[in-house]
Amino acid sequence: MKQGVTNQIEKILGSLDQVNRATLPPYFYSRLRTRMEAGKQPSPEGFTLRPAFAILVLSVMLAINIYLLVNQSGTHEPKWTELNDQSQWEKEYVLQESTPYQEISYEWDLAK
Amino acid sequence: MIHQEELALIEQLKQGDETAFRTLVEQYQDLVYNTALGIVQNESDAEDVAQEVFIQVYRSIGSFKSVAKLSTWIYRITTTRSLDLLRARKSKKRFGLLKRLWETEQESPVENISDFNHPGVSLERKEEAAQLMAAIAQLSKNQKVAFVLHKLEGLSYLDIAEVMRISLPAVESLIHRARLNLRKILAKKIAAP
Repeated sequence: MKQGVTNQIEKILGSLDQVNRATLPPYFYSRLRTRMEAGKQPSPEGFTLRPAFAILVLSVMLAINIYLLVNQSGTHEPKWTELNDQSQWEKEYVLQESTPYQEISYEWDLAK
Repeated sequence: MIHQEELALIEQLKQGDETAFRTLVEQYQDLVYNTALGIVQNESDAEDVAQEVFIQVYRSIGSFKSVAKLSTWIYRITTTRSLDLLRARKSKKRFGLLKRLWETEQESPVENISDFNHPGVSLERKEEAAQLMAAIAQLSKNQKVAFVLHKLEGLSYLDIAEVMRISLPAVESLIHRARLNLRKILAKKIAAP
């Protein structure tokens, strides 16, 4: 039994003795030249498909996201400039003074 | 020692001679293809490797030092490129496991190299040779390269040492370990078919 297995292994190991060299299909040189010519022309999307470019874009996007997240997290205190802007806006649209509409609504409330 | 004709061919290649390049391709294409085929075990991949090898030869012939034989240099490029392809195939396979989760079966062709038949094997030895090729595919990269160069290309241990840039005893050790491992792999396969 063991001898049979050993013989079989030896037969398999010897199966590549006197093997002929594999040959390429015809017109290999033409295909090679075509590939070489194609390789000379830069593809328009080639640059953007490069892994280095993709990693760079992703890193920039990630950095922007982290920056925005860090700046937006925590309590948001209105800054002096924002307050100033708000009061200017109120002044401009006369929100601090009573308007005819407010008076009407007041009278309407009283009537009810 | 490099032949005078080979030196002339190298000189013409360095000057960008198109005819010299064609001569080089015709002279070495089967050597490259047969070596690559033994390592990658797929006809279309082996042709792809062969094209890459000649493109590299064309681009870097300027840096070729005439102390070594041209064939040694070409063998070295071929084995390196073939191993690169195997590495790429391995990582593609790993990525394929993830990809298969959202792709249909038609979109992801399954490669099968286990039943590869070398075209130079005679009909009566085809079955055994296929088993041997499947076992060779399981060897480590250095053992695989040394064994393929010896078995399929018939290179001497000294030539293999030059191609692989290792010592002669290292080649002997590689081939010896390759044979031991092949016996183990084949024994396991025969015991559990």
